[in-house]
Amino acid sequence: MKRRQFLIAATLAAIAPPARAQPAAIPMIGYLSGRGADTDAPLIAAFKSGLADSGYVAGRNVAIEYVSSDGRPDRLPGLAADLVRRRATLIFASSTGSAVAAKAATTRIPIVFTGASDPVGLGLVSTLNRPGGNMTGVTMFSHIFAAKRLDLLHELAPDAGVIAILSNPQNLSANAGVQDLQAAAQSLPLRTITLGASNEGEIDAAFALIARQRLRALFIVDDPFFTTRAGQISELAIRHSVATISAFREFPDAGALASYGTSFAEVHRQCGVYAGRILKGAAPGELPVILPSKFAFVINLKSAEAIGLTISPSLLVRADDVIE
Amino acid sequence: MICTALIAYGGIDIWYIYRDHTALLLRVQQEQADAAAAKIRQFVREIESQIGWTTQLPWSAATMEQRRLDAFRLLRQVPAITDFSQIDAAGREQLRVSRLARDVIGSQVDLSKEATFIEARERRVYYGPVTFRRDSEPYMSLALSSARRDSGVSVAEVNLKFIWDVVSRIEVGSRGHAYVVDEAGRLVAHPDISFVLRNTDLSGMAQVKAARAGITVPGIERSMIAEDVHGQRVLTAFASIPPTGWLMFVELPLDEAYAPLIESLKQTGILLVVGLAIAGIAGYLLAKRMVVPIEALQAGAARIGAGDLGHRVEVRTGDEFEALADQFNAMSSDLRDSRAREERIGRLRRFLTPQLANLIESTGGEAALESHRSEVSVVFCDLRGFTAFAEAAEPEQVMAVLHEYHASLGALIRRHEGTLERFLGDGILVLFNDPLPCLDSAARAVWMAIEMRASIARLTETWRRSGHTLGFGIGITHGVATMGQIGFEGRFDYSAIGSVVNLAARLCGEARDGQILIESTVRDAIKDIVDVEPVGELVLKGIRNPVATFNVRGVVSA
Repeated sequence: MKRRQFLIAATLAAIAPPARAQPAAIPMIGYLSGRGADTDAPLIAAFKSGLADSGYVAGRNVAIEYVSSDGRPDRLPGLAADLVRRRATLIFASSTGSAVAAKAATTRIPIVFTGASDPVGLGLVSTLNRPGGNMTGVTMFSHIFAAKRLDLLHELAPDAGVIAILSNPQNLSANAGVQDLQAAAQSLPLRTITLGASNEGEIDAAFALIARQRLRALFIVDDPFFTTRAGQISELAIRHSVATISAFREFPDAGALASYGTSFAEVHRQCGVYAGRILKGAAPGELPVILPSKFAFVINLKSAEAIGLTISPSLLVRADDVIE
Repeated sequence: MICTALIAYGGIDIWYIYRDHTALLLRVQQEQADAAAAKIRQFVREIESQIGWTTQLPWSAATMEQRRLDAFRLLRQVPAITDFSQIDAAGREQLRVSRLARDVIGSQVDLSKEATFIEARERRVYYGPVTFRRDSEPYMSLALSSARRDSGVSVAEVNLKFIWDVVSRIEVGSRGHAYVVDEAGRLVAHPDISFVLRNTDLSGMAQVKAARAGITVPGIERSMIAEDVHGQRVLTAFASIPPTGWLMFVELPLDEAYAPLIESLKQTGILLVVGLAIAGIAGYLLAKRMVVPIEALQAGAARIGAGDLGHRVEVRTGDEFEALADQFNAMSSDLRDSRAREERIGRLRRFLTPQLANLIESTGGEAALESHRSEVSVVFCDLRGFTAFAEAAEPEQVMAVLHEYHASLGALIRRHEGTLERFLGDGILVLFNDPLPCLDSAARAVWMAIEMRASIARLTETWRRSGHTLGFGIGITHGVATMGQIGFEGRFDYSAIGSVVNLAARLCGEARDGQILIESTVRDAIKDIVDVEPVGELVLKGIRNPVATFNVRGVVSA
């Protein structure tokens, strides 16, 4: 059997045109990130592990070109266009902004995206089950349960009558959910103050306002830039005894109070799986957009103590991960 | 012949292997389907039992916080449940907890007319139909009530994507897989989650059709060969998953399923080919081993048949063929000896009487010719006046006369089975009773003599007309003589020595033309059948006493 295969291979090799004998250029994945290399490191690893499911190993049979906007959405279209120019085999857009930029840059190169909360609403795909076109991905779905996070924040800090909302005015897609959030808060009933920040200075300014107003609860809207500044935000939150909630566990990991959302690493891994399948020949338009199904509630008890909050049993019972 | 048998055996063997293997595969596949179905069932049952805990609390305001905590615990215990609600006995929703939506307490929404509520109250457990949220994610309502009369209903929305954890771990060969379809034939779980999320309808597939049609028939064949979603031929088997009404399928690519069989068939084939080759080589060698000596024997037989008795068949195979060839050679050598003896006897015949020749031939040797004493009748005859005739006549005439004379006598000697002892020109000595024994030797001798006389009388008449005066006389005696070969190497004669021979010669000498003189011993033996007349007591040269002599006149007439 083996010998026969060898013989067939040898025969094919003998009759095949010489051009075939040359190794084909390995596929190149353009990794378009809205964050920065430091916060992305564990996510890149997760993406690579998903790729490995299809047998792709970065540097061996696939090349990964990582480019990031470092939290600055305005840089994304240029980066996306550059990847297209460099003839990327596939683009992985790891945030809503990069997904939009990638879509604008090409309709031909397959795109795997994540982050985008509502890919249908953003016009990235026509339907979830059959995206069509050159895009598919794994959404974070975070806009769907923004109100859920607000409820949790209220339970974490029941005494806070005003909720501060930290949002990035440059991230248009994410801000669409802020209005829903304000409506949800009114039903509790809570007042909200929306604070815009798109650079470190503005983050500092926002916290200065929080301190001045003696606000005790902060809702951090999903935004790649905020994720890259998780350390700064968490530190400021603790310093000003502010209870925070976000969709990403990077914040409680960095010292902020809590997060509720799907595992971003898991989402990246699934994106890696999809990227591998597309490199193997699957059509992105035929791969359904995957919605997250595992959600984790993470509480940092050290932060709770520092802020002077007592976490109720009904919250603890829900916590999937407690940082002590 | 052997090759045909081998091929037939191989063919039958392959057929049986194929049949058994297929049956085995189908059975194994069926068992795998059962095992896989049991796993899905286990998955569902576990969720069911976890929900079961939440139905035990009585309804009162005091228990609400407890219910809420139970609900949180349930969500933490069972990741597949995304939403959980509790409806009181009156059918009003009291609690709703969700992973994504906001929790609601005491909404009092009337759900008493909902199938979920009614069915769960009636049967305690209710498995809702599979629905696809956003046309993508498969969900199912699972509702439970307890035996308590005031028991409400706990409803969980189960995200069936979580069955992926179970389905993807079910190993079916190396490239096979297991999947689940709902009652309507839509895909619920598949190792490739994207198939499920595409809200795939598999009700058109042959195996799904067969399973949906046959699900109510007990003992139906639950495995078959069909095509999978990619159009690849697969060995597929199904099992129902009570109580959901879903169907579990396990599929193994046909080429993988049959790989061991093909391997085995290949081995059988190789064995068959090797067997055939060995049989062929063995047959060839055997044929060569047999044909070569057989041909040698055949050629040998032909040459021997053609008369070449000196030919030897050369076969050095060391087996029966060599033995046969040796026998063949022995036979041809015997034939050659026999032929040589025959030739020798043939040569002998010319000099001996046929009787003597036959005797020598039949005794297989010349023992009969060895010296011995024997009672014999001796006939001696010669022509009267031959010496004078021989001197006067031309040699050609003498030889012609002798030839006629000898031809005439030779025929009579042969007929009377006498043995011609010797020629002495015109004289002839004939013996009876040795070497050929006979009981009436004297009578035979006389009888022959009478016929000789008559025969030579006719000749002498013709000779006389030619001017040759010749007569014929005979002497006969009977007595003991020494018999045997005399002579020397290169010239031996069988001869009788003794007075009885001499006497016969003397009597012949005394006989006048036409006389047959016998002595008394002969006369005594033949007196009843032959008419004799006394001649007198003759004094003969070399004979001590006078001999009473008689002349034979003829046969006694009846």
